[in-house]
Amino acid sequence: MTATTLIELHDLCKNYGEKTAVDHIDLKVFSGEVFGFLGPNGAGKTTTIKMIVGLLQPTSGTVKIAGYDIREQPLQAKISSGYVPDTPSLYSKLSARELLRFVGDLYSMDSRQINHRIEELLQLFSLVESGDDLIDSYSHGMQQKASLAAALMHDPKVLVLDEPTVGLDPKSARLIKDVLRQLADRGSTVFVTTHILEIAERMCDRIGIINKGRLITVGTMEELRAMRHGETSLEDIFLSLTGGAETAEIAEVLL
Amino acid sequence: MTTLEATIGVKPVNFWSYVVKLMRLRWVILINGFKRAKPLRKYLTLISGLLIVGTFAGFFVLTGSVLRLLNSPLLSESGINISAFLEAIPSLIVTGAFVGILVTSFMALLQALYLANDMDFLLVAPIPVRAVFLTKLLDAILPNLALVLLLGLPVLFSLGAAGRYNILYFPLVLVVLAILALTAAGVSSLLVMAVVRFIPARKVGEFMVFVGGIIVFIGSQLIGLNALDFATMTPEQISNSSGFLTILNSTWSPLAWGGRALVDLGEGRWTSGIFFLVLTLVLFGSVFVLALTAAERLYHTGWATLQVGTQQRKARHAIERSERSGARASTFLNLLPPPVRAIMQKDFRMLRRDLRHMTQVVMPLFIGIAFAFLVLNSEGEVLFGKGEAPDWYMELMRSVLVYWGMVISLMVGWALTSRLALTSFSMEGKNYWMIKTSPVSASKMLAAKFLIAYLPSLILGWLFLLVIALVQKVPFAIILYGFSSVALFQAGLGGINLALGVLGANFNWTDPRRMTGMPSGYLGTAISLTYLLASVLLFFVAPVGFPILGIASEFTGQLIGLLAGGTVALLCTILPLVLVKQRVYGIGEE
Repeated sequence: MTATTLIELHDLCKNYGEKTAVDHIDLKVFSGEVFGFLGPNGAGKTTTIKMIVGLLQPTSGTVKIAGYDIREQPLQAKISSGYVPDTPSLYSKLSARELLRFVGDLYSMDSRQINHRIEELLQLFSLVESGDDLIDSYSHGMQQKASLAAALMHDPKVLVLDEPTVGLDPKSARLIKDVLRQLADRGSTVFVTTHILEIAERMCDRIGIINKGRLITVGTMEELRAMRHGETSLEDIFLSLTGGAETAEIAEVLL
Repeated sequence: MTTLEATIGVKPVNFWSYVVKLMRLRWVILINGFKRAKPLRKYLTLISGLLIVGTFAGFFVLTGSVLRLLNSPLLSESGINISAFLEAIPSLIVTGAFVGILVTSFMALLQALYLANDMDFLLVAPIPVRAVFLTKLLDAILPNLALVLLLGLPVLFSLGAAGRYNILYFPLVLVVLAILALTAAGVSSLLVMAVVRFIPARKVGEFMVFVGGIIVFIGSQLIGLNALDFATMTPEQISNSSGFLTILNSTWSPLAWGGRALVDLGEGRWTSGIFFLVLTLVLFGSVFVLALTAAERLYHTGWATLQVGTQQRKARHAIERSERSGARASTFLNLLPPPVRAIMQKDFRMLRRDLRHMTQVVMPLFIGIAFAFLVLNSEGEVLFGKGEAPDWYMELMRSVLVYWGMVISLMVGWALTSRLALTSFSMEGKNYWMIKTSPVSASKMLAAKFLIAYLPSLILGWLFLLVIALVQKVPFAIILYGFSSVALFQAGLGGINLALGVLGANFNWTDPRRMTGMPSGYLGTAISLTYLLASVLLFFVAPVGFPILGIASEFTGQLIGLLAGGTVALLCTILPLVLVKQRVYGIGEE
């Protein structure tokens, strides 16, 4: 099966006044792959993600999802994508079941299909018991799972996740990693940011590292290792590329 | 200093320096907020400050004049015993301040202790817990105390000046008010913890916003509707009222002791003055210290954060109930495109379940009820010009009364539509990303938000109109005209306010009263009022005026009214929404 380009960023820029948050990014992400988008705090990861899912308008450049330009054909592009933000802000006065029905209706899904999918997802994320409780009574982990269930409701071709494993217990984190892997194996694209480099190293097929708004490297783990002679772990590669190695030395002197 | 402290370089600092540091932090936050505010807000803050100083001065002068009037020999000759009332004033103000601060600091303390999210940060820092709590109490009472001082000090100082009180009276006023305010806040903090023990803090917060909004609204309406008519009061009634107020100055009321101490010391009755002052300071000081100690212990041991109750089960029952009522409404909603239906169902649920949003709906309903009482009290009679007025005038008044019900229906709907439409996007808050990332066009979003504002207002307006029409026995044809004009008017109002809601959308709010920014709020009110006045003229001048002037029949007048008012209403529905349609895609990106 030939891989198709499901996310395509071309010369993507975002400025806030004089500050450049994202600086001329070119990137293609293909079907069937889990793409890890890494970078230090404030590097431009969330801004890039927000432009991919249509939450922010780029200053210049284009974003294409499944071949549709997010600016020119936003509805077609959004039909193909699902998004899980870093903090799960969900409607606190809805139950998980109502939230999923709401999302299903937003995507104009058939009513029977919605019911079936809701039960499937609640089962998958162990939310059947609490499915009728209001979301404001959920723990952070449960809200994160409800957020992921909402993103998966319409079975998107492209799933974009911002720090999906933050605050999750090991069992839930493992479940989410398994779900993402399965999605990619079924031909979807998973675009994920994380600060946990072990997860990125084990789970992602390709990794992109962004620093100060610029995409400084993209490749598989093998390709990254080949580019950085002598550095075998993703942590070393990441630190040497983003300047964290010097910070580590300073920290050593201070402590 | 211990060896460990010496090793890590920690210098011992006394308790009060921590309080000062924490208070300074608040001050820095306040100043930063002012410095970084937009110029318009800065000017408004400065003007508000000047107005406050002006109010204080005005109050001082006004109370001085009132006190001189009350002390005048003419009033004594009329048989009214005013001296007991004057002596009771300090006790009344002190009691009022205590009760006021006890009630108002509840919400402030709930916010400071449970909703501000800085308690954990402060409690893990090497700061005495008591300093943290004292700062929180001061934070909670200072704005309210400032208000009490603004309103109470001019009266108390004027009283002192008019009665030529001893100089000690003036600083002691401040001391007594301060100790009572602190005690009230201490007791209030215990109340907050007792409530939070059973109900989650966020729910208590929502409830308090709801109750606060309703109380303020009802209070304002009651003042408007049932203001005491002093002009018609007899001297006996005034004496009785002042007698009732002096009950609050009873020796047996601990809250009155502070006031009595002030008057006695002011008038040179040193023994009783010092006795009451010491009694006040010891009693309220002890209550304050006890409350502070208990509050920090309860908070620290986790007693107040460990909720007991059956919230989950209640929430589930609430959902089941709302599901049943929702199923009835879904027949109509099923006719709409799924995304429009989804947004509407979700918003109706949020309005019903979130008390903070419910306040927005309930207040206009109260306006409706208040207006309904006014109309029903008139029993359908011509209100003005009875008996000897010319026939044409009586005819005009009858027509005006018939159409007056419709005007009031417009006003009732006006309050609800404006509020719902103006806040329809802002009410999404931080959850707006869910709609923005989904494939819903701007037209569908606008349609859903428009219907959410329009339908409840239309139903309310029609119901209101129907009730008034039945009471006034209005002919069916006129009721139909009323229904059409209300429907058209509400649509135009919805369009205007929704467009302003898009332009002024604000997703960073915790208090729903701050959902709309000042510019869009004021602009919305101004434009809506203009539209209301224009609509009243366009819809009702022709049907009322034509038959009286003999230009045409009432029916022709109604047709012309519908044509004129309807055209403007439809333009106001569509045009603003077309103009802001593209803007919908950019909401929340600033």
